[in-house]
Amino acid sequence: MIQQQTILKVSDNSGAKTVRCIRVLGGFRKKYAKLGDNIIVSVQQLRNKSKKTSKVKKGEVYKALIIRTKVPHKKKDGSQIWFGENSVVLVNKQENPVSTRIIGPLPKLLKKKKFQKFISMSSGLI
Amino acid sequence: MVINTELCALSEYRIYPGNGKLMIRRDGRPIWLGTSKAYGLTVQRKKAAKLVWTQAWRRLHKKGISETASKKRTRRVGKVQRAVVGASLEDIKKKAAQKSEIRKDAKEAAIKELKDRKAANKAKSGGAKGKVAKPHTFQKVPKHMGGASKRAGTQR
Repeated sequence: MIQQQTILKVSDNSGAKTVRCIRVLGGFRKKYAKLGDNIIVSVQQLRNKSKKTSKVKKGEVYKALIIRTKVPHKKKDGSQIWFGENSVVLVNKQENPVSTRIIGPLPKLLKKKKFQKFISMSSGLI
Repeated sequence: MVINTELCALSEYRIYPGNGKLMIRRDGRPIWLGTSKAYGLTVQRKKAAKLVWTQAWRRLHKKGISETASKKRTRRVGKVQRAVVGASLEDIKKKAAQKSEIRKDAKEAAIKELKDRKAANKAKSGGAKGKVAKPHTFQKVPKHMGGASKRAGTQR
């Protein structure tokens, strides 16, 4: 349940630490975004280490893909999966990843043709 | 058919497909929880070793171990006949089926033959060394005695 004003963690090496959701994409009057959805974010905070080498700047607006949510995601077979944090990966307008590496595991339900680039960047699937 | 099951992190019961919840911690460690009971207790940070109904507690207090141990003891390895190098399975079976007497006879015959051969060898080697053999002392065989043929008894 990611909505406008939600602050999320960025788990890639783009340089951003936290972002704020400013729009949920994917439909008229769509209120909440869930795992695998795209949102529009503004960069809130940068990582201390990569402040000079960062690809992004504070206040910039990006698209982002939600890869982990605290709210349980109900699978088709009835079981559920959830994470300890809300986190995203920054993407560009063409929905290609801005960064070159994803930190932490990705859920298996992102294993689709659409997310092939993200899967190959990640350290593992859960 | 093999069904892929998971193990509950708290109770260690099996979780069949379509059941349970997968909680993934901040550090990326996945925790499978089979029931809401297991989930509730995990959220309360209860230790599985202190809950009597969990497998962890039972293992710690050695419950249900004696049954498994006794079962193991009864299991034994059965003997299997197999063909050995140079002897097929049929040959072995045939030999085993033979009567002990026949086998004994064969054995004795073999030993006898071996002894004979040894003796012959010895005689040969002895002859070669040049040992003077004792000259045969011929016993005088009496010629046909008149009375012998007339004697009654064995007739051939």
